[in-house]
Amino acid sequence: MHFDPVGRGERRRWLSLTSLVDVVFLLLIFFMLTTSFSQQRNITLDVPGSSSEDSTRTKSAWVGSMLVRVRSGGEIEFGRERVMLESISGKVIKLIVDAPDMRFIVRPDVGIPLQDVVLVLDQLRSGGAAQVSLIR
Amino acid sequence: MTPLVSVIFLLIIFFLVAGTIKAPDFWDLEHPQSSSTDPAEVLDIEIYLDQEGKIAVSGREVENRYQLHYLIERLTRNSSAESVEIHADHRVDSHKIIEILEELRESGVKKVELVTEVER
Repeated sequence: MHFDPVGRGERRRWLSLTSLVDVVFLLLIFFMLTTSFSQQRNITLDVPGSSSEDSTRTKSAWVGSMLVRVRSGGEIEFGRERVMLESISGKVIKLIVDAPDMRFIVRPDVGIPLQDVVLVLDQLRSGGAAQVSLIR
Repeated sequence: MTPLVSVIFLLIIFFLVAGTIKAPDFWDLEHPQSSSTDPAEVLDIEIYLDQEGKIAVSGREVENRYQLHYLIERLTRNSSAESVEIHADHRVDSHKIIEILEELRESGVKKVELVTEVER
């Protein structure tokens, strides 16, 4: 008995279409599960006092720096004055002109969610602040 | 069958081009949104901080502060790791982040980056 699994008299295909579809489906499912469309960015946080242990260096982290406090009521204190969130970047631009290396220290109250702090960090960054650190 | 194959091929090419392949996060976190434009890099140590304040360092969940201290010390000593990426949920208390930063400062880490997401 003549048995021809590929097809009567047909030329053998290079690759069966059904198995190709199987493989392509698998690839599709793999890429659907592993790709992520979220675009991640980062904010560099400065860690003062890590470069050397001597006290003069750690003290200088405070000298000439600007303290930004995030209060639990949603208020923001820039130095001593109370400011709106949107006006921070403008103030930073003015300060950066005189002191380009100025350090900005952000000090949130207990219980402030991270997102609120990140909004302040964003404002400082867009004003051109190079050194931003977080303290308790 | 042939049009089906071509549609699926198109879908594969779409996912290849439009998305980026990455390993899943340790926890399902929602990163804080920011207008930062610095692309995220892969750094030496990954620290995860979830909504309730649970901490994981390089894929291992940390029970308490001493364990956190020990893990960071070991990673920075043995493999001379100096850069850290912090993946934190946007709802977590910011003082939890500061606790981690204090721990990192003691162990002499040079570079700390907070991972954020592009605003939608």
